[in-house]
Amino acid sequence: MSKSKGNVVDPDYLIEKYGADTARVFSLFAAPPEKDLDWSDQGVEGGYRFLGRVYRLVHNWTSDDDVKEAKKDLVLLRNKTIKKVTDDLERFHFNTAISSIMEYLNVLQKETPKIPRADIESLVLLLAPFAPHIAEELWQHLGHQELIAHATWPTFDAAILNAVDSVKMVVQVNGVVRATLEVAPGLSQEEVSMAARRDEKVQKYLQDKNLVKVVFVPNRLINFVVS
Amino acid sequence: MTATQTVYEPKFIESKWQEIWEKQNTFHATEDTSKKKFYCLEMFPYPSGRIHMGHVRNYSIGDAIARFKKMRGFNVLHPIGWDSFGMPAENAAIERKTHPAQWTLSNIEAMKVQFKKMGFSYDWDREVATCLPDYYRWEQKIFLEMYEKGLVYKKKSFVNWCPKCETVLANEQVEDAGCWRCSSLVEQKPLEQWFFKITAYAQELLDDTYKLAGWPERVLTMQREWIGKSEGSEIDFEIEGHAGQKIKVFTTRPDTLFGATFMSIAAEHPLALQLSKGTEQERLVKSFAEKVAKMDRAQRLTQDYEKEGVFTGAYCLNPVNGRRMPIYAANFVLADYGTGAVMAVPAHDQRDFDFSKKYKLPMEVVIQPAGEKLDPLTMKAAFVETGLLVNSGSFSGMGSEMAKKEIVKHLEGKGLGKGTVNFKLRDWGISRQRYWGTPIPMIQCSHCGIVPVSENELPVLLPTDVEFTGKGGSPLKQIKSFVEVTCPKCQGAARRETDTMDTFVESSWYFLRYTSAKKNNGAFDKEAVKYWFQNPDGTFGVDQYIGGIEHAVLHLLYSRFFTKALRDLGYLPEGCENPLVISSRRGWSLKMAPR
Repeated sequence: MSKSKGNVVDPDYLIEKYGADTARVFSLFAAPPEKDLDWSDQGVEGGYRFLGRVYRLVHNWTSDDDVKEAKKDLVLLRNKTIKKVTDDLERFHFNTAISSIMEYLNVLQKETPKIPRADIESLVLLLAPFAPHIAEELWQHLGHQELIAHATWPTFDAAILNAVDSVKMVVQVNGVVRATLEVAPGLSQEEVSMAARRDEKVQKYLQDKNLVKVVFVPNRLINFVVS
Repeated sequence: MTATQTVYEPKFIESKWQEIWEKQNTFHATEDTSKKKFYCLEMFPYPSGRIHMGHVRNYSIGDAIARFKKMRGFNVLHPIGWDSFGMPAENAAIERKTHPAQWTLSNIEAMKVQFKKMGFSYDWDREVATCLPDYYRWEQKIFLEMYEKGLVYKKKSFVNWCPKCETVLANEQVEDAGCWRCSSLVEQKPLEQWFFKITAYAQELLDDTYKLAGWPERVLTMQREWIGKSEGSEIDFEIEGHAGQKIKVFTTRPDTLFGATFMSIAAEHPLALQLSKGTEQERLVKSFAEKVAKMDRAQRLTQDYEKEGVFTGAYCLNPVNGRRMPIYAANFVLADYGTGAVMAVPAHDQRDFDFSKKYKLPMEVVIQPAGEKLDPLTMKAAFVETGLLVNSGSFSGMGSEMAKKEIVKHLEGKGLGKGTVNFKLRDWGISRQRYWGTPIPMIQCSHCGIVPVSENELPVLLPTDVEFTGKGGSPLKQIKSFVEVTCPKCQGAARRETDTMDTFVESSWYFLRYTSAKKNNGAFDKEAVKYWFQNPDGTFGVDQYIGGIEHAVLHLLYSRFFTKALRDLGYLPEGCENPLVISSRRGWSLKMAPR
């Protein structure tokens, strides 16, 4: 992997090879606005693959797949994701906004092909400020006559978010408590691990460390053992 | 449903939608009072030729915000333009034998293509290029109105001068005391320059830093430091043997006046030569002044600089205790800073302390910390804090703060000084001896003096038949058809001003021009400014400003000044004080690559 300051890379090369949407997603995802942008091939490739996955998911979805009664946790995730991306955009946290769209995509992929239209459309709408071309294309594919640029930003239902019982998850690094997270009950080890890694305090202790193992007690605790 | 493309092909998709957006004019903004406005402003780029990743990121951020707000139902104004005057074009002209206009305009075209390929949602109908007459003509008009109002003046001031390139250099273009292009030793040269009277607004600009909601604290602190208000007093010191002649100093510490044991004046201060004339010190003072003139100004103000000076042979008298104070020409005092003279209190100022040790000058302790006694013989450093006065006549025993007021009162009573406010902020020197900039619309007549170009003669166009050699000062000076004019007043032969304006002038009002970029009978439309700047609560400001923090002090300070001037010239809607107020917290805490 080559790594250097982003400014030596010619944007034309990026646009030519991966497209403008990837260049945009990469530049917003790689670092928060107040930090320097570090160039990485992996980062660009990752952005490109992410958009490709969105493209295929939406393209392979047909209205026949629409499910009338959505799973409860999917409804919750949709509302959560919309809230998160909206809040993050207001706060200039573009990197975390994009990463929650990525997580949303991961969950939807597992549901294929039984995905409610509301989820497919929310995914595309949330992506529009970051990757507007692919968003327009998919929006049209979903049967809309109007441009997504003129579409209305999705809203979330605060009542749904408030109704959820949450559990307090203790996050430890080498047995020392570094954070507690409020998460939905029943999350998998992978999901909790991802959430924990987003926490700044936890990040600090995991940085540049080798992960030896993870101890996971559902709804209670996660412990990262590092060396 | 369209033919299914199951493979993600960005090239196909992206050009398709860029064409549709362009054809439908999707991002064209019009004033619509039924909708809430959102003005998403990004610092406009210099057209260097190609976009870099810093641009991609900066403008991707702005675009994400603009598109998001549009989807949230706002009427979004998202304009773009080109900060297109400036030196790189002239240097390119010299190096590549092309014309700055051609170089700049083709760069704009190339970057525009790149911006469109990025899919940014700009309203291209509002595109602004500052190097075009339909932009700079209004700047010239504003300049004339500012002149009329007394906000523009010409005076001699010291500039960084490269003797080889025969041109003025900005402070940023002086590298290790040498010219950034040819490395020649840069000199300080007095030159007639045009100034904007930004100091007329110093207090207001400072006060506003406490009202600018939405600005990062870091930016505000930097601006306050740049404005640099200090309260103190002006004190007159009579010069011995020169009846009636006085040296005026500004000090924030009149409480230390009894401890002033010598006087430091700028080496280039006219007094330095005058006082030493005919004495055996004359030769020394002269050669010292020449040496200092070659030093870097910024460096002269730093702490770790070797402080040097020479005795002028003259003395002045301390107004409170009559002490004879030798007058030194010193390299750490600047002629155009404050009064160009500083009373030296070695016991209570580190610079004076070092200087007095070096030249064996007397030291007198006049401020004591509570419960301690300072001994000038054993002091290792100056005591710079406030404390209790000693050795200060009837003021001994007072605390510093009280003594400051009492000593000033005493001086005022005797007509030897007065309480004043001093600002670090200097007037904005906007003259550039450059071709590629907005011509300053002024004429020099040997009969009538300075005469402004009549308004109906605007714009003063930049001539195009110019040769670029990089030598001999501004190329405009060589063009007879430009320089030789008739005086608007007496119709006699006169010379046109060949200086152009600092490009920071253009960037001080482009955000106003965007609201009515095509207006051909004025700089911008007051109603359009009102619509795009006025917030629901009645205040004015853009909703988001995105750009690099490295521009925070100069661009934002100059813009704030310029809009104050525009307000006073009646250009702005009522109540519009600070158009660059932003409502968002994180507006420009961004890093952006240098040009």
